[in-house]
Amino acid sequence: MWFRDLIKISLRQLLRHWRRYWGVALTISLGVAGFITVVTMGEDFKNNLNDNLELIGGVTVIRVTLLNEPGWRPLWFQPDIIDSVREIKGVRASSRLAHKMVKIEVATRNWTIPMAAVDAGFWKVRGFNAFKGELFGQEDLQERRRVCVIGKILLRKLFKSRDMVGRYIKINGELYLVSGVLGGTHASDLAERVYLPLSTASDRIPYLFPDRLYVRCNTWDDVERVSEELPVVIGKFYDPKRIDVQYSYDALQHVLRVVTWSEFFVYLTILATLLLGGLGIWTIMMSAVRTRTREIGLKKAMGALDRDILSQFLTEALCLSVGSALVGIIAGRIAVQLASHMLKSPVPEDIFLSCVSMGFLMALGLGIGAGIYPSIRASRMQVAEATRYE
Amino acid sequence: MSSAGKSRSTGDPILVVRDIVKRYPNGNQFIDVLKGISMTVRYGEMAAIMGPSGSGKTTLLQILGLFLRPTRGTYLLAGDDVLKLDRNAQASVRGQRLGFVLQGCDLLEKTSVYENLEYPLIYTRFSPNKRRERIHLALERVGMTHRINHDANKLSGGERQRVAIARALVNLPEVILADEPTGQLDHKNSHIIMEYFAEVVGKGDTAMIMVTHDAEIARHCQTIYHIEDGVLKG
Repeated sequence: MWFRDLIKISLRQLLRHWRRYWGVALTISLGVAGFITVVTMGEDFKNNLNDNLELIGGVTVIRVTLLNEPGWRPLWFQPDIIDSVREIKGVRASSRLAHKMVKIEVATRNWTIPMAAVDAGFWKVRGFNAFKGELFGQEDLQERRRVCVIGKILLRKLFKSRDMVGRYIKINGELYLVSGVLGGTHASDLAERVYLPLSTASDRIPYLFPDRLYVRCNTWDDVERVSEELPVVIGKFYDPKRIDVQYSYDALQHVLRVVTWSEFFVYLTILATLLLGGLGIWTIMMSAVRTRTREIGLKKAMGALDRDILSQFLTEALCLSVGSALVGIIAGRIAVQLASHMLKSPVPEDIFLSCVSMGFLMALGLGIGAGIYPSIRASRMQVAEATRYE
Repeated sequence: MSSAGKSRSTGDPILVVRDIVKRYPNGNQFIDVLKGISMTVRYGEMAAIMGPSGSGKTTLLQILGLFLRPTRGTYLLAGDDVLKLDRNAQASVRGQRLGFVLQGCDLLEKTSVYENLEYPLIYTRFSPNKRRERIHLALERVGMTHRINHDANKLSGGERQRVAIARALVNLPEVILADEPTGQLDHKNSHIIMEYFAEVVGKGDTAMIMVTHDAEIARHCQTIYHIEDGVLKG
């Protein structure tokens, strides 16, 4: 039998009996689409989740502190240290912070309030956003503007929740424009602070050293490795004994546990779906061999060789699995595009293409695995018995 | 092994069987369904095999069609000993040199008349470009060209039988084997079908062996064999 005849006969069989096959086709399509979507967008999903990790404990953020005791030569994070840190694999962003107590004057009364001087990357590293107004940025730091961001609790305590955005407040006797109110944090100590641009604060507040560094990792999988590399990298500049690296170990382990189990169940579901599809092919083909016994006999009477019958049934199984996988790939692409739109990140095309290849190979394996035995049975049928089958 | 190059002329023997025995085990014993059948059929000859149920006529037809292997005996098809061939070579002989009209005029489900006739050509790797012409020719011989694209399931009983005959003829077989070819047809259609067979076989390049219960149908054949209890009586 010619190859093109084989394909034509098999496709004709599937299309004309589509009611028999659509359930299995749908199962395989869903399995492949799920596999492609989960694997392609999984990393982006993790990254996106990490952007909002303040909600689940900021487990991808590592805090590095340079220990400064009274009488010691003060250590602080200089730009070349930051450059070295950013070269560590798995580091997504970093931000320096200096802190000190400042005086804020409200209605002739002075309040001593914790102040954090931060750079423009701080908000992203910590996953903070503006509850009101806007958070100061790179331009404010470059221009050394006297702007500030105040925490929500501080706003309530000092200003009775009045709208202070666009107004001036006095910090250490100097006027600062309130650009925004901090949101995205549930930690009370962070919401009780006033935030100043690091460049502005360094100019105006004496003995202010950025001795703290926040490092955001790409995913929780990177945290342990990065936290081990940080003292080595920073240790090239300072005494390692004065470097303190901390991250939320318990929270990280908890997240890793939850994620690992979630991933396990997602993959298990996909695997079960695909196996169900394979079982469906097996059942349908076994049933087809029985219900089409007379047809098989007739074809053998017309001169079909054993291998013609075997290849026809096997090609039908393959057309079913691979055809369903193609539908799954299209559905997967649509799902990936939607996920990409929702996560606001581009589709990683290389991963997508790998998944398409794997999905295709899985379908091929399913088709062959589930179709081979029924096909062999069909091919070995005796003509005399098959043509007399009722 | 092939008949290619051998001439087909009326009167030459095409099918020769000698001392065919088919034995089936039955508990501790054996039952001989066929007990030394010998027959010769020539090009241009129509032969009928008649006999009561269980006499062994369908078994004989299955052996002649290479559906079954006999327990012993020889079977020469245009001089070739086809019983010595393996399973696949026998399948090739079925496709290229034999044509079948099976009981109940089996046409393939959910296929057109064209597709039904295309299968034998597919299995014998007949050139795809020449298939339509060959199918048209076969349908023309049974007067069914106007139904070429029709759904086979929607044809009448007589039309289905004519399509089954055309399918048996499409590969220009040396021998047509028919099992009760008019079994499901009325008197008028049965005679029409037999006239088609007579016309096809009368051209002298093929022979036909049919199994029938109907003595009136058998009268269309030049030779009538009666089989009783596995023994052929010419």
